Amino acid sequence: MEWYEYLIKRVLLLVPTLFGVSIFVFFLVHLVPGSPAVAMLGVRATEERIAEIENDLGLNEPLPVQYIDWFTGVLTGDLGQSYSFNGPVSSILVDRFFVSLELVLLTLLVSLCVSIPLGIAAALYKNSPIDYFSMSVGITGVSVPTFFSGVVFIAIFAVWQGWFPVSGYVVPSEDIVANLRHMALPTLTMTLVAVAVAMRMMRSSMIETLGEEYIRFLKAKGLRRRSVLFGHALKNSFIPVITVIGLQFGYMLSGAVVVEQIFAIPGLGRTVLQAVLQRDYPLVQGAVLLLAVWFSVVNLLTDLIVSFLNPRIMEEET
Amino acid sequence: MSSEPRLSLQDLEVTYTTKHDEVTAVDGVSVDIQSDEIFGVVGESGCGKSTLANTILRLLDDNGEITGGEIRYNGRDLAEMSEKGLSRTVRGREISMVFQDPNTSLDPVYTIGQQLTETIRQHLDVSKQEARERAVQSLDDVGIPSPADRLDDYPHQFSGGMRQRVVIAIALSCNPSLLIADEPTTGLDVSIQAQILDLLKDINENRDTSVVLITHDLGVVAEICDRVGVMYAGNLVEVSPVGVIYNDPKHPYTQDLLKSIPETHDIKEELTVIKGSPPDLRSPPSGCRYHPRCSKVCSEACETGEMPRVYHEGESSVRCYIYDAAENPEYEATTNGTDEQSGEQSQQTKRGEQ
Repeated sequence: MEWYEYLIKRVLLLVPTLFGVSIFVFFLVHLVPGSPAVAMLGVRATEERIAEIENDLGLNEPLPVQYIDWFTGVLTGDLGQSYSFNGPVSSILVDRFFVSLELVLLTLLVSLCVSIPLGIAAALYKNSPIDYFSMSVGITGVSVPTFFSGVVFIAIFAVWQGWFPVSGYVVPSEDIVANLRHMALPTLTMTLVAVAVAMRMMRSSMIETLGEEYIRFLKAKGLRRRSVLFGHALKNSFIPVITVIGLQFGYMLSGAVVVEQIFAIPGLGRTVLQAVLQRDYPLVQGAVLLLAVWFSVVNLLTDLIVSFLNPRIMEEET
Repeated sequence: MSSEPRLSLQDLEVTYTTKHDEVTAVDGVSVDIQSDEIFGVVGESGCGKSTLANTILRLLDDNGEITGGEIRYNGRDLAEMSEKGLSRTVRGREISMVFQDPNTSLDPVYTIGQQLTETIRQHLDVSKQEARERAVQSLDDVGIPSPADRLDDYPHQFSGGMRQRVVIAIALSCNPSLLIADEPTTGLDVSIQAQILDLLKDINENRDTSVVLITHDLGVVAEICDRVGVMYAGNLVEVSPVGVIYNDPKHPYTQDLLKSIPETHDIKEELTVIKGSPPDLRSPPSGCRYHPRCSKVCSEACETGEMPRVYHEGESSVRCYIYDAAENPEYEATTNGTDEQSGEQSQQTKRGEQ
């Protein structure tokens, strides 16, 4: 199979996936007890006022009718109006999406620069100080919760040293330096977790590859150590790491809720949380759909990269 | 045949270190590999034959180490050479190696053309185009049909037998003078095995390439080897021409090994087996390592003495007290000049001569 056939096949598979997600999320959201009208008006609202609002929002229609209304809108690019944020869901989501994307990309960039070299070094010098060091970094990273490390970083680098702002967000087009300064601590907090996973994966994958018979054969051919390690072992052991990075990339976008909350960053995770609390149905539905698309696209990209690196993948798919 | 051996192992000793133990997997192995011969190494699993093969190019696992002896090749001691020098001038250039399982010997993410040309360009100063032409030639030499078209295929696109041919093509691409093949047919179908053996024979006859063939299969040995070394528990107990091994084996272990080959034309009720199992090398038996299983124990030295030294019997060298007049009263020397001093001393004199 050629790679573009593979791509087309995978893109076509997205259609039923996203359709399923849309049904699932729509009905799930509407099953959650509580009414958006109550959320908007507060607990002291009168019955009549609540009924009036619910009628305005079209919540009295049968669920399938509401779904079809919403879904036809989605097909034309209209995700509806947000109840709580005043504005079309699509533009709210786009703004929030790019805020989160910046945070995720920065985290990924920093964490890869640390985790890949550290993982390789730990594999090459197994059971040496550098291996133990990387292992302790890893264990610390996954076991310290972000709500704790985030607050500690604020205390040290913002309050005490004053190097970075405590919280908040500046749009990069306005002032890129201020933007990056605001992003530094959230990135650091998220990196701590991300590093651990990629590094451990890199280490174990590299160790496994170095034990393969073809590595011995490459040495027997007289290849230089550098070519054996970085030409062959690295390429082979990077393949499973890419899959892990892809998964991280996908889930970090929505998984940054805590970090976005601590640092008051108006990202996607924080917005979804608010939308759920406000019973802002259109916003929740739109956000989940967007996340599903995002996840699928990242997965597709990951698989494409992996299949370029590993020629056996596309054969297996046929 | 020149008189200078192509490769000469002298009193080679290899030790694996684990957390709790030290295991001497190859112990005092001395043998000369002649130019243009196919030398077979046989033995049960765990006897150290693969370790011996890996030791020659110093491809031991991290916990394995050469703890004594020499690997003389072309006036150099490979055991003493730097890793860099070994890679640049010996591995893949002078001495090549082929491993047991062709399915795992090739890097799955590079085409076989890339894996061939990287070897050629590592050792020979040729352009990319020339390397590619040589690669095609190498594939053609080992009998891969339409080699030019297959250069850009990945290893998984070949069958097992073809893959082993590719591995051999890579090993031979720089015209080495010695090829070490570690059980090269074990992972293959019987019909393919014969083809690969023919190929090795062909290589040996048509090029100036000696072959060291590691195998546990005495049938394979009979088919293509000129001389055979028999290993037991890390010792090379007998080295004989292939005819002697089959018709007049010298060492009791070799004799027992031959008896245990099932004979298809003469269906016996029970298979003859060698009683007991190979010793635990963490604490090898005293005396001759084979004595607990040997049916021909001839003297006290077998059980309590040193490992017997090398005795020369006709064209064979054998490590067994049966051939020691002092230990075995029934021994009658069959040839003259067999009376060496102890094995160790003879090693030292040999080294002194060089």
